[in-house]
Amino acid sequence: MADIRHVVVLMLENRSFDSLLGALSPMPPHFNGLNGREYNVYEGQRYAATSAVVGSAPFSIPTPDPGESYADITEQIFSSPDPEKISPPAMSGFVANYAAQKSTSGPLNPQAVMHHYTEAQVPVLHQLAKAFGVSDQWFASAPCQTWPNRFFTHAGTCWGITDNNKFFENGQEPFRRPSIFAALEAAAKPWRVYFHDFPQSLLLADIWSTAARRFRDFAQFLVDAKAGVLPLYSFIEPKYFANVFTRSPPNDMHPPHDIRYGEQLIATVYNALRAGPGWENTLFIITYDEHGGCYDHVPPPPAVPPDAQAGPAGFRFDAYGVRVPAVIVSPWLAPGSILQPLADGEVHPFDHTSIIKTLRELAGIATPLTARDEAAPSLLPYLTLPVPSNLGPRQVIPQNLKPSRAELRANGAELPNEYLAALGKAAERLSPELRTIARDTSGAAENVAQVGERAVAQVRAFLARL
Amino acid sequence: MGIPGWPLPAVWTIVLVAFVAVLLLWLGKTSALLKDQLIPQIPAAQQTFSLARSQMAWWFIIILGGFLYVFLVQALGPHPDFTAILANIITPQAVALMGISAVTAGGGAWVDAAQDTPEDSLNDGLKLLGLCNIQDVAALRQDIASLTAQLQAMPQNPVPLPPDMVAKLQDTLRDKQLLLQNYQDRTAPFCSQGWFRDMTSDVDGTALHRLQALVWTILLGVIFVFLIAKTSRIPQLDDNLLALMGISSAGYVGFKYNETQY
Repeated sequence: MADIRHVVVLMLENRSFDSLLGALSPMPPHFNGLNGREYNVYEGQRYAATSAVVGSAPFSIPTPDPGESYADITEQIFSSPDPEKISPPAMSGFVANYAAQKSTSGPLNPQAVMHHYTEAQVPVLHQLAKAFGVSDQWFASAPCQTWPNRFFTHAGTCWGITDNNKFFENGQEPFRRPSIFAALEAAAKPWRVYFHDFPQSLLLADIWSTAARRFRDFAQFLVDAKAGVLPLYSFIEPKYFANVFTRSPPNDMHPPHDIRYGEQLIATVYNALRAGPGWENTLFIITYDEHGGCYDHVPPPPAVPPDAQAGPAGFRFDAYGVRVPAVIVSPWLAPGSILQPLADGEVHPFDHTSIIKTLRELAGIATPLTARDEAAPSLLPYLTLPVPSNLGPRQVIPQNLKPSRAELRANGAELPNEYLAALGKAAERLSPELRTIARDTSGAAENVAQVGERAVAQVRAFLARL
Repeated sequence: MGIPGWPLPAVWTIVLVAFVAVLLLWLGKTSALLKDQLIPQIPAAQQTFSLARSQMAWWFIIILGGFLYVFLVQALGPHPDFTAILANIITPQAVALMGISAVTAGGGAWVDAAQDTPEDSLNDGLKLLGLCNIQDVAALRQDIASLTAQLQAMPQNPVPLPPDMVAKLQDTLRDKQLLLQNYQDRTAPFCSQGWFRDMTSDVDGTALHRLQALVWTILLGVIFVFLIAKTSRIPQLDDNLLALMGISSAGYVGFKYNETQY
């Protein structure tokens, strides 16, 4: 069995498998990528899955942000808001759902949601996928937004809540389910969350007693990787907010953020791990919390409900969300591996709870967090090399790109999208009373810079109080 | 009027130069006279000192004192010829020194304007937070003071405010305090650390191109003063010395172009 002592997970935002890896080339046998025949029909017109540029910003497609609520995703998968009416899922409602979105940033081209990037545009992700491995059977844990899927990653459940803002309405935020972090803590296995601005994982209430020493700036990750002192589990959160002060753009890849900054982050993490003394004992997982409304052609299969909590219209979380990119990097993995649990006799594909399963196996934690992570396949059986011989490229080099002053100013002046607004609201819950601030909203709406700066300050204050 | 043993021109020169120097120092400390003024949200007294402006002020005082001293020595002598005196004090070298310092100051200002600097980013960020200038910061402090006073006076109110109104006031105060804290944290690295540290460092720490410009400026100034005191004439500085000064200043401006940019 592979001698893995460091699991590093970089979870980015809102891209489907097809949008980033569907055009992997050369396409290995049995790889389930795009074959050029995928399309959606909307108002009698065919919209093919294509890499043709839509709009004037080739690295920010789709712009504006597609719909990603439970209702949106249901329509994207089933072409109807009522999943009972159409079965099996045909992945045929992406364009229609996108066309129906309200756009506050100019005209909306329905073709944008069918767009996929090429290897030349996302060279780092493709290079790592080929040098190590990729899974074309990794699905978001549930057909819903970012927070539920991130809570699945940490706790194996989203406790019946499908949309980010519903956590506020249902009093489920801070999130009070047991997490893998607390389980590792109980097993005396070290872990850390490395974050840029707002760590969404700080909403897990069961780790507050240790968060002050476990949460660190991303810069510390680079130091720890270089020194070879990474813990068993490192979870990396990208930068969600544009930071005008440090002239650093968001690198979470969330549409319409420029994907090249996400590529830079992936390269930075890989290069730090590859150069560090712990490299031969490392498993690095790059994945995305959900598809964010971007087209994917593979219908999500049935899933094990994590618990008895039901979502909208009685949804039991018995189906996965849309397929997301998953690149698996380790010297124990053969180059060019395609990880396909369903083809290897597993009952279920990978989802985010496979991270929990893998960590439980490594840490010797027998008790699952939920029925979902109990059923999830582990990644460890795929690390089949007898010795850590696949050292991989010494360095991966992303596109050289620096944001302009005007670009950052524009980013900071934008109104926050729904996700950033939810992060801002969540940061306010980190007040001593754990309640939402009664802000006077009669004036001008707050911009990304205002929400982001306050969120960062609130996180720092919260961690200092713990 | 004179001091026994001291020539009258020296006394007058010292008095005038001391007066101008004290005036410059006072204005330099309290106003933006010797400051960069790159961040309008920081009070003038906290802006960083500018090397180019300080250099300009240094040569201004030295050359002013030199002119005055030489003028007085020759004007108070027997049979003064004022046309010849003026020709003697406005030498090509003095003009060159003033020119070098003016070009250095202008070059530094051009670099600051042409480049995207960390100061620009701070300015952009603060503007997006609603703090466009020092008046906005003062208004924020005033808001915090009046909200604090309002909340402190609340127990004495004959008619208590509804709880949701109190919460809103408290939260508004907290928001503003957070904004002020942010402002202080963000601007702290850009506030003056004292004249010497401002002269010799940029945002990345001590910078050699600044240190060498400072050292050469002081050294040449001292040589200039020494020669005037010794000869009672505006000195004929060696061309190589002037070239050295020019190279030093050009090096400063050139490397300033390369200081941390975004």
